[in-house]
Amino acid sequence: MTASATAAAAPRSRRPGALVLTVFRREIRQYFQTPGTYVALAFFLLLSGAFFVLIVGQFVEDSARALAAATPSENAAALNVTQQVVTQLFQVLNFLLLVVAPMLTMRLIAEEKRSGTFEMLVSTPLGNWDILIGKYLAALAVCAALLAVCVAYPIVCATYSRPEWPVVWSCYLGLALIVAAYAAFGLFASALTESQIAAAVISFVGLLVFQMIGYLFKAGTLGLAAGALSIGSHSDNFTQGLVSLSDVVYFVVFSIFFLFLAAQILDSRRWRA
Amino acid sequence: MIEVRNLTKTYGDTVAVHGISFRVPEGRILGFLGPNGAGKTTTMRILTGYTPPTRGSASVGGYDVVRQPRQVRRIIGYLPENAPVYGEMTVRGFVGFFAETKGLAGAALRRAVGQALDECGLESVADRLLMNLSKGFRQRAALAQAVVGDPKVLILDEPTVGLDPVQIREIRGLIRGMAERRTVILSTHILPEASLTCSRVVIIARGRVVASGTPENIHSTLQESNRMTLLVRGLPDKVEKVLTEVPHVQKVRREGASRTHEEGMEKPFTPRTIEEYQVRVEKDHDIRAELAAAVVGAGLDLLEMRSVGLSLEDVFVHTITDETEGVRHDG
Ligand SMILES: Nc1ncnc2c1ncn2[C@@H]1O[C@H](COP(=O)(O)OP(=O)(O)O)[C@@H](O)[C@H]1O
Ligand SMILES: [Mg+2]
Repeated sequence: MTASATAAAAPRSRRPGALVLTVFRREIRQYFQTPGTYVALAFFLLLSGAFFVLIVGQFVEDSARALAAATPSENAAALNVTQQVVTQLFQVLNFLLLVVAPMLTMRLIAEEKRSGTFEMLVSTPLGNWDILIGKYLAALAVCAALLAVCVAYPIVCATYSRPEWPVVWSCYLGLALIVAAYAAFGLFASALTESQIAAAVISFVGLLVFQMIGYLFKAGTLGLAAGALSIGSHSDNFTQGLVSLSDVVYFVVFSIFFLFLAAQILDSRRWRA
Repeated sequence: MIEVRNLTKTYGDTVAVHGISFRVPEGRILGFLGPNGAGKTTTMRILTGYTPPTRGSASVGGYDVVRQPRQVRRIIGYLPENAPVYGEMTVRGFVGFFAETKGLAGAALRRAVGQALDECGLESVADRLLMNLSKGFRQRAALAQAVVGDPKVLILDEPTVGLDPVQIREIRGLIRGMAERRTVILSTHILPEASLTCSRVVIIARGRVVASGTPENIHSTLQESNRMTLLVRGLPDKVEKVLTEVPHVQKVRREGASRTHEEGMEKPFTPRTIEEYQVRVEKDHDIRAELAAAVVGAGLDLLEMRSVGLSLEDVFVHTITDETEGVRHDG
């Protein structure tokens, strides 16, 4: 057989998505093997637990004071566990995820580039999207585990009070969408560099900016644009029990956009000088 | 099976590969030999589709590496330079992962992994973590990753660098065994590796092909000179001048010239200094008599003279030195 006349038969993968699953499984195993995962988990659980205790303690104190002194209408406000505990906890968890998500995603691509396994990985039949989606889903799985643990907090609340469950669930949905966006941005940052630390810093700072721009620019069209782009202004509604389509779309588009950018970066070595 | 045509790759102002062409027929093993920085890794990265060429083209198994990278990746196994591995995985898990990326599953996957581990002599460490293994085993695991699933083409970038001599011999044996059923291109900066393992050798230096053919072939075509070794008593400067003026002499070099300088030896040269000189003589010229006459005629003492054939090693060094003259200094 001459090389140029007949191209050698190339074996094909059987099922679509099988390669994504291959990458996903390896990354999940890698998460279990990486000490950084446990550091991030411990950080998240300890701090979120501590904040929960603080918030609940404050709520109990406030309620007791209100019960002793004030009029019935003020009582009602002070005793609103949803407002006082659930939404505050949402803000705390949101911020903790902003720190933890970069810790969980920093390794994904940067470390492979540094160690050289990236070159091995991209010379296999895996496509860029197999690699990215597999890694992204693995990061999401770990984040989902974190959020699952957080179910404990509203359950504890529910044992001695009656939180508004719709608000709890909308907060949950909000956190899930937020963490999906954080992970996509973190994966993008990890594709930018060979240094895990740099990737973590880029994603933390970048996400912080996306959180804040809504509050930094308030006036005029700039304010409008900043508000439209800001993570912060799109997460407030969830704490009110409101799930608006525009917020959901914002987070979905945000995630896809940064996954897409990450894919472009993986591809860039083909066109960059 | 592998065809490289007029390939050029530049990084900014650096020309990493400069218009190289070569072919590897199916079932052959090609040694890609060159000093560090010659452009070996760059060429291999182009072959795997990792980086595109600036000019020229390359194909593997009939597929163009730029236009059909996915097809190329389905038929190659690639061992990158420095044999990177996932340290947190077991050898079996590592090889299994790459088998999965090649579309294997279930019993076929287990069989392929078993075969690759067997071929690379890894059964004894199959369930150990890669980070706890020696460099030699990690290198083999990286090789097993390339081999698993029986790709038609193996691209191996410096597969023996950083190994001890015993490991090197084992890996070479492995590669020779693999080449029986596959097309292999392996890069190395060590000459014996190419001449011992490969049926054909391409020598590159500074991004250009300077020689290619079978090891024996290269040896004879490149042997444009003979080498004489002379032991002469006299002032070294004078000896060098006299020898250089003899017709057909290409180059004269005093053995240990740089050593004397570097170590700052106090003993000054005198007319009684005895030194050894390497003289490169044009091919097909026997000038032993002329050399002897010149030395004696200049009032110097010729103590010894012998003719030394050039080894492939010398050819290699001379070839790449001529290309990079001014960069490398004698010594
Ligand atoms: N990514 C890169 N960016 C800039 N220069 C590079 C890059 N890769 C290689 N080079 C340069 O190209 C030349 C050839 O390098 P390389 O192909 O790695 O050589 P070899 O593998 O033979 O040692 C060197 O001068 C090197 O500095
Ligand atoms: Mg190299």
